Amino acid sequence: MRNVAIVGAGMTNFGEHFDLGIKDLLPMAYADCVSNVDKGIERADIEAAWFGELSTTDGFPSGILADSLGLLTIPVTRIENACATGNDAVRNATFAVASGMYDVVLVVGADKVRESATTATFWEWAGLTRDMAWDFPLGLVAPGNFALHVNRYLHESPATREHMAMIAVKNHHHGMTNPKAQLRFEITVEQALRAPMVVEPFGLFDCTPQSDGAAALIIASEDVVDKYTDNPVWIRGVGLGMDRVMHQHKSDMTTFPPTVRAAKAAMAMAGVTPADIDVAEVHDCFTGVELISYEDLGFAEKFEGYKLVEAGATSVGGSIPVNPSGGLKAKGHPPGATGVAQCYEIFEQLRGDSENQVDGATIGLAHNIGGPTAVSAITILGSKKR
Amino acid sequence: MTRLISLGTYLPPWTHSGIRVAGPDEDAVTLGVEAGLGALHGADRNSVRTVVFVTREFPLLDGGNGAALLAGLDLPRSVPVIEVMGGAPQALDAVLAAEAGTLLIGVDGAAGAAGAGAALVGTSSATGVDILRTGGISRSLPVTTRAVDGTIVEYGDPRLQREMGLATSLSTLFSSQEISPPLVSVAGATRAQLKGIVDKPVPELPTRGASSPFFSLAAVIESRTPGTMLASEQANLTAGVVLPGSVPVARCEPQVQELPKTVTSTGNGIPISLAAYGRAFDSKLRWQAAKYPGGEQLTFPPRFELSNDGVLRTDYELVSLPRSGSIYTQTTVRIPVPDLPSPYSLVIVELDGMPDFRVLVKTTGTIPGSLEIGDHGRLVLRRVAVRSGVPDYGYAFAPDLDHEVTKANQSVNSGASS
Repeated sequence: MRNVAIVGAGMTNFGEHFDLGIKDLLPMAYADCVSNVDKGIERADIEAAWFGELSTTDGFPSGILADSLGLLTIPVTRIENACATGNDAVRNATFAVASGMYDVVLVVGADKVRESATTATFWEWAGLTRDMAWDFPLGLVAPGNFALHVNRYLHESPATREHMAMIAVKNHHHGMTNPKAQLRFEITVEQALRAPMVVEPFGLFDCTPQSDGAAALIIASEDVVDKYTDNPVWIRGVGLGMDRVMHQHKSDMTTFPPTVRAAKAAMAMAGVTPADIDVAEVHDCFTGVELISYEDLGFAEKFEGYKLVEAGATSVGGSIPVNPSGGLKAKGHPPGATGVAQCYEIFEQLRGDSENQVDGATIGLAHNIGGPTAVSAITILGSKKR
Repeated sequence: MTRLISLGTYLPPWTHSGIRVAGPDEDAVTLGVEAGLGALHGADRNSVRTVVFVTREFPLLDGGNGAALLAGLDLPRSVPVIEVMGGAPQALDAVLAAEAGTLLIGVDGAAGAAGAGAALVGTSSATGVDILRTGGISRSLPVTTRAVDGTIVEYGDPRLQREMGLATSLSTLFSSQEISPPLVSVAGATRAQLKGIVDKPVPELPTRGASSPFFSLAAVIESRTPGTMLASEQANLTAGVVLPGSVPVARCEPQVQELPKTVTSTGNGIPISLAAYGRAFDSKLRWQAAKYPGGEQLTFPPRFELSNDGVLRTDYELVSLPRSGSIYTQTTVRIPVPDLPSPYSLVIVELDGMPDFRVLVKTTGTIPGSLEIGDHGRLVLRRVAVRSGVPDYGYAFAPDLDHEVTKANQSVNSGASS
């Protein structure tokens, strides 16, 4: 298989974009992406596209991408894999280029969570993840999905809500320097612990906000990379992992098996171990998920994720900076866009261009976990080809 | 003569404004199932040939309640369910007219004090208590009316109701003679309404409608005071005599707590798929998992099986799951959720005797957020949600009661002493 690189990446701000529809966000993300292609790119160079979108705002996703971006002559595939959509779109595009089928392709991720009224959104989303007869009517809201895991994790490990609060503080701090982030304000541990409870154990500041936004990547084969940049970021490994969809069937709820499976696949493909990762964008839809993910990704031993938090290891400047962009917590989370936006951040990091730069980063990891905690997608990027 | 062989009662664990009330996840079907399971405890389920369901608060007037009631009681779908719209006199009349093999359930739900009672009627050769109808009278004095559209009108004259209603019906029924055997219980009337009409103290009963004759029977039998019992509603009266004897009485009457405040924000009515509902109905309401011949493992919810070499199996049978377990993990939703009363708690319960076999359910009968990992309890039928007008029943986790379910003593013949 050929080597594959990202030659350009861009994103819109994430936020409540009531004044922008999906058909506006897509060209905005594309234009921002193209502006970061060092030597420029013509639209006609793009041979195929993958569009990650969780919902179907304004209808038929592939058509909307083709239409909004003027890409009517190429194949477009819509990817939906719950909150792992973005990195899974990257995975599919990567294999298409690595196989030799295409030289240059586009990946876009986008969602308009705030397009629906909040009262309608809940049951629309539940319908995407729940068994219609069995657990749909129980009202297992999105935070509840993960809360069931985190409560068991807090029961079995030495970690506490205070460790979760420290993660929220860290990510808000990281988001301060990110002009694309939705929430740009500092918080304290006390504020996080005193915040109104949403779904126990998650208070308001343990939860990602609801967001609109889009992100885009241009991916090229090693045969043509030089045409676009002298500083590509190589896609070293991709992985996707699954788990059973009903929570009652998950045997150990202190871990997310999809992450473990995806990490194993991606790291094997990349030829790296967790110790090689210099910077990571980890799916902190809820603070406790980031904590558990430290262990699932191999950054910490089982039940020792809290030690990284206490040591400040996952702050920029620490030994394994996590979510320098602010993470989902501060940056925001339009599900289809998130994974792609994580790759945007790692792209910037590995080229030394991030606002919240991790010095000397050469290998980065982007991680999503989603659905009824049943799917995870991971992308490993490197400044060097394998 | 009707031979009662078993009784069950149920009272919800909530109080509001001083009245015992059903929880937001309870309705006449779930209340009836609780009492019915009590009456069926230890009994031969194959002996049930008919179910009679008496209440003024059927969850559905159109759409059917019988299938859910049978499923919750785990009785065969072939058993007829006779729905009787009625209060205390109708419920007692139904018991007094019942043949062997009848399970009678009386329920009071939303209006006034909530509760349910049930009785199983057996053959004359079974051990039990005989009751017989000694009289009754139907008179029209509609001091409270509730029309089909739900409009309630109160006449607003308690003295009229007492004198022209209960007192007149009582004296008409018994003329000027003393009630014999002596009166031991009155279902359907408050102490205030009985004052001056009935001088002998009678047990205070927790409900006033269709369930109250069952609480009345339970009180009479447990206290070993056979005699005359009455069931009253407005100006209607039914009289029966309870003869000496004993039956098991399974009471589920937990301590009450103030019903927690909940918020239900406006939604779109939680869409339902009747296809999905129908497929899941039996295993979901009967609490049964799939078991494939030759295998030990249970699959819940039931589903088809694929072997490694692609062979499909669909020949499972449904087997009952344990109805108790301990909490493996839990969470409480505190934000308002459209169409659901919030806050509410969800738990994953590991079933007793089945390590690593778990179920995801809501909690019931407990303040949301008050349970912990490791707490033990029962799985009970509740109304999980109302979806597009359809009551969606399922199981919920009720923590173990503070006190044990009580049973009646084996009594001796106390005679008909006055």
